[in-house]
Amino acid sequence: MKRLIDRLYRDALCYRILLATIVFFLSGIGYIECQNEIEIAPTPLGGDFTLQSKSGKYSLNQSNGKVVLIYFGFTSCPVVCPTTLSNIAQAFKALNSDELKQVQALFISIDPERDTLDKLQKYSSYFHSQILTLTGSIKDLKNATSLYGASFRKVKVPSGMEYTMDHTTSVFIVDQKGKWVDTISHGATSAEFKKAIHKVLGDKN
Amino acid sequence: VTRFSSYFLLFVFLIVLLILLGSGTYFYRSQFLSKKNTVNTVTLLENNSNCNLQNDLCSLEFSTGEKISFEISPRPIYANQKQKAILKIQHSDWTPESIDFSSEDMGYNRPAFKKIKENVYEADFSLDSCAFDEIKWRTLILLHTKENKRIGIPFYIFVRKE
Repeated sequence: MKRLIDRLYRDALCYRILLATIVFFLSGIGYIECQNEIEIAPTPLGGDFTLQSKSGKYSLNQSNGKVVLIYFGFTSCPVVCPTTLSNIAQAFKALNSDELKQVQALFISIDPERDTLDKLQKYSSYFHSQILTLTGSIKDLKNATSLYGASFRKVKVPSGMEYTMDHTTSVFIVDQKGKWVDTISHGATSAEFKKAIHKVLGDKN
Repeated sequence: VTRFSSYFLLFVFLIVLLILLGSGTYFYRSQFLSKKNTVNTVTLLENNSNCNLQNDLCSLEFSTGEKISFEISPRPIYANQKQKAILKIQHSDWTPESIDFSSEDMGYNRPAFKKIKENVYEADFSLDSCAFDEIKWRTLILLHTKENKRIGIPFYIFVRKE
């Protein structure tokens, strides 16, 4: 009988310690999970990338010394892309010749399936000679867009186009040292692009 | 002797178990909390209002006394359109930082607030469109408390293409 009581006591002690340990562990998790906290996307930092141009590989750092306007789009884009490129072109036309030598726009096609380098070059010629067109593999394009917090995706549509591309419509401004300094939201006028360019040129001149 | 050694072994086993679980908990908590302490962590404040930014200026009052009013113009809010957000704060030592707009795979969009006058802040932005006619955006007002804790006040808006 005494042995049985001893054993029961020993087992009860064992269970209590085990239970206390589990409660301690779970309370640790519970404390963490009950916090009303969320994680938001980290701020992208910009940076160099390499894509294909008509004349071969092109890296952003090849434009060091210039103010660069980066825009992600595609040539079949019906309204948003031509409007933005047109406004950038108008802003470039409003610059004097010295200023124009110090700027560069990059139109990066996120639709490499349809936008060949020849097609891209022809497309950009409608806007301005200082607009360089680039594209690349989906992997390289994902890398370039992620550096600037941009995004794109292919979306099937029930029309003759078969698919369209969703994409970020902002223009990213990079200074002469390759540092991302400003983001221009869609809808900016040519005057606003010119002002943003002047701001960067003025800061560094 | 046998009984003593079995008790002793049980005791050692429980102590080891306790140490293992305790250190495991400590490690898990410290790892998790160290991630939470990064600049990307936001403590959400509850927004129980049914206010719709598409229709109205939204005013909130918090139990700690702070009052905010927030509106986006022009209304209705359409995609691919220049918009202005206006935030007014009263009875607060919060410092507005930015608005985080997020929706699935829509990229980074976090315009910074500019101080216009005392307790009034503005941010310019545009919301992207996509192949869908309408996108639900989480609109998170980001602020810093006096203790430099980052807090967020969430709103949700449905935005269509014009």
